[in-house]
Amino acid sequence: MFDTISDPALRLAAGVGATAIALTFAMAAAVIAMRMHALRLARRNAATLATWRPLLARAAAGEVVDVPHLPAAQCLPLLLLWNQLQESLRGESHDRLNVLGERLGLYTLARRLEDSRSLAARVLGHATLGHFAIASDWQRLDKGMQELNTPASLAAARALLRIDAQAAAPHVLERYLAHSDWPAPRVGTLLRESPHEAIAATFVQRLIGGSLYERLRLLPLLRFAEVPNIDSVLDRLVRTSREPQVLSIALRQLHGPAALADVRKLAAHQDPLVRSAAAQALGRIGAGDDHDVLLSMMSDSNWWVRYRAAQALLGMPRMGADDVVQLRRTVGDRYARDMLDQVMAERGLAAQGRG
Amino acid sequence: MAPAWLAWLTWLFLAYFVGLNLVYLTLNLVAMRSAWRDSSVRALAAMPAYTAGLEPGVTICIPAYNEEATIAESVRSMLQIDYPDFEIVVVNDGSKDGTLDVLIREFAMQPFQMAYRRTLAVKPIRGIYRSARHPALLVVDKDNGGRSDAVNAAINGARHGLVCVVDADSVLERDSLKRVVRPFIEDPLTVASGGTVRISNGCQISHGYMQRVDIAPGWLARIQVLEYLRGFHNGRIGWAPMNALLIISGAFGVFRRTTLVDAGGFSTRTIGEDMEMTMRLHRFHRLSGRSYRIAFVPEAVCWTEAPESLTVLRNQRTRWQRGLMESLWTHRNLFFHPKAGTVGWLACPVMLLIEGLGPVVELLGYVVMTVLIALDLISWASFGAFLLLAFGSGLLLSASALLLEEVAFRTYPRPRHLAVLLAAMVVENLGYRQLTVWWRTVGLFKWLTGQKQHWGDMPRRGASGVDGVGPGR
Repeated sequence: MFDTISDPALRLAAGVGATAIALTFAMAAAVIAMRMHALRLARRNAATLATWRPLLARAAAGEVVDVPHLPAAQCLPLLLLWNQLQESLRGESHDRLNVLGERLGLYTLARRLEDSRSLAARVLGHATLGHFAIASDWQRLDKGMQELNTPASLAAARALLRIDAQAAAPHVLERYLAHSDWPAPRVGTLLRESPHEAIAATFVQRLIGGSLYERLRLLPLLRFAEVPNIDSVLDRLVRTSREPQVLSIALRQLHGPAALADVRKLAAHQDPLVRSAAAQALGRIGAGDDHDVLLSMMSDSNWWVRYRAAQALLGMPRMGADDVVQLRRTVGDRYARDMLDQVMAERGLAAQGRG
Repeated sequence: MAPAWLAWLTWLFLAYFVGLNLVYLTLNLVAMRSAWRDSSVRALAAMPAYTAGLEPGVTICIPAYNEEATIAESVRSMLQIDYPDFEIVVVNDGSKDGTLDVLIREFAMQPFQMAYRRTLAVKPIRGIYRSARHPALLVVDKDNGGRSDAVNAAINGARHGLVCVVDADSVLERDSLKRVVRPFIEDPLTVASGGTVRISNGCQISHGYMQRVDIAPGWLARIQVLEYLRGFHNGRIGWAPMNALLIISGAFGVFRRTTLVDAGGFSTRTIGEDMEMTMRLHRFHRLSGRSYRIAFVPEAVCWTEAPESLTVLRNQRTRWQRGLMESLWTHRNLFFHPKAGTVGWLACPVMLLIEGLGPVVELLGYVVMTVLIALDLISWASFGAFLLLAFGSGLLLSASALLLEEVAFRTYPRPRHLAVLLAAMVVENLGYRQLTVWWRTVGLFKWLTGQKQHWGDMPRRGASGVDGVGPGR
């Protein structure tokens, strides 16, 4: 019989099978227990919201409210609700909710959450301290910003900017450049929320004087930083940069005509990314002389260069309907003609949509 | 006394089941850790979105072949997706029905002079239409060339840097696109990102939207719900943190357009083009030493209809198995390549042994054990131990996936859903599992013998079907 020659195999098979089934039962029990816990939690959170949402709204509107007893289990859902409301409030309403929050012990709770191992708790703690904006929390939040956890460090940065944007801006940019974990769009939203004069000086200094890595990290933030005389910064970048990535990002944001001569030169750059950005820039800042430059770009080997050039050409101020028809007739290159047809069709549909 | 080969076979079965359990439980633990960490981040969803308004433009590519019954509803639903900057390119892949007419009629499509880029070689284009009502809707009408060819045609017509490939009858949750695109915003090295595909049978879908999540009354669909949970939770969430995900589902995946073009577009020569493309991206980046990331976002959900007939299910499973083997074979030089890292040294071998060859071992186990007990060559105790092992391993993998679902997602909200899924864990082992093992073995045989595999027809009830290679175990 089989089991006389391979008893160890039989024992192992039965053992593994039985263990698997025992583990299955344990997991199934855990699933059921977790579901019951989740249902209880959902009921409790719903009760918290039903009680506190109208109270917080009335307090924010300036009414004097009687604060009921706050059970410990309702503290976290309440803190979350308080934060959600604070995000949409400004001025006196925001301050009133701060006063109420302090009365309810939310400030103390937030400071406790700062030391939590839970990421969600730390983020909530940082966000809350940002709303209270108390200068003595600076050190604590600065430490939080240095941690290598993206959501937590970003929340701490946001709180620091709320406390003192002027003082926090260099720290925030330093942290952004030192580690690559902060995505540019998220930092962009932080900068957009802060007064621009607090950011601009530090920003320009690092953008012009920084390394290629720093420039590439900072350039996508330019539109958020609201730098005064942004065109002079961009002109300088277009004039002095050699790197295609820097050039294309700078060209896409350029709106002033001072760098026009450089843009024309870049229309013949070897990198298609730069050429298409140059075509776009010519469409914005170009003069009548650029008609021929754009026309020749419509025969470019790269689809995007042709497309941007056609868009720029048809969008030029003195390009009337007759000029377009005339242009269509004279264009010899098939690719240029196809692209012209596409952009004309797009404009036709857009006009139809507006009509 | 039983012959020596019998002892060898016994150890082979044992090694397979123990290996299967160990691999998937390890993946489940990795997935659990990842989901636990992410659940903390998910809890922040109530906080203001840091990326609001900063999402990159996305072109949604919808290949459509004979979809006149569902295409208008699908496009309508896609047009209302919660995303700031997107366009839709529907490719009518030489449909024999009225797919194109429906599109023209429902969306006021007009012939459009487009300088169409033939970056990827595709079958001849018959015409291009743009909607007069929805400027972001483009229809490319072309000769029939298959799903990959249609997707490639859409990629050629795409204007945005990211392309999202979906099935013509998929139902995306409103915020799915925002979620699945997040890795591209947060990590510029991301080249592809996939979401979870879930079974829509039994759910209430209206005007292209998921109104109420439910589980179908039939056990065939119920068991597939469980299979998908296992495949996406144990498999994909587990592999993603190691950057070793071997498949971004063709039913819902986002890719960087330039990367797809550089890779040559979707292959028209394989039936599992989604897995083949994902593996090609791995190979391209790993072997050339380039940094990249292929991400998986479990909370980005796409709903799709599962087959409720055995014939359709059989076709689907044999096709998936064949697609899996084709992809692994095509990219066999990834196996144990010094530069292939976790993909070549872990994910590919595991996929080959567990998913590729596993069905043969399991089928062999069922057949041999049945024959042996019939010939009285083994005792009933041995037979019982084998069954305990086979069922135990199946149950454990399902239970771990269900646990992960409960910890991280809780998509099925009602206690009744939980009871049904727990019951499906058991029911699956009573015939369904053995049938799929047989079908997958047939798929493997078809691949080995080079037999043609046809897509077959999937009767629609108004939701959708899954393309490409399946969710795995």
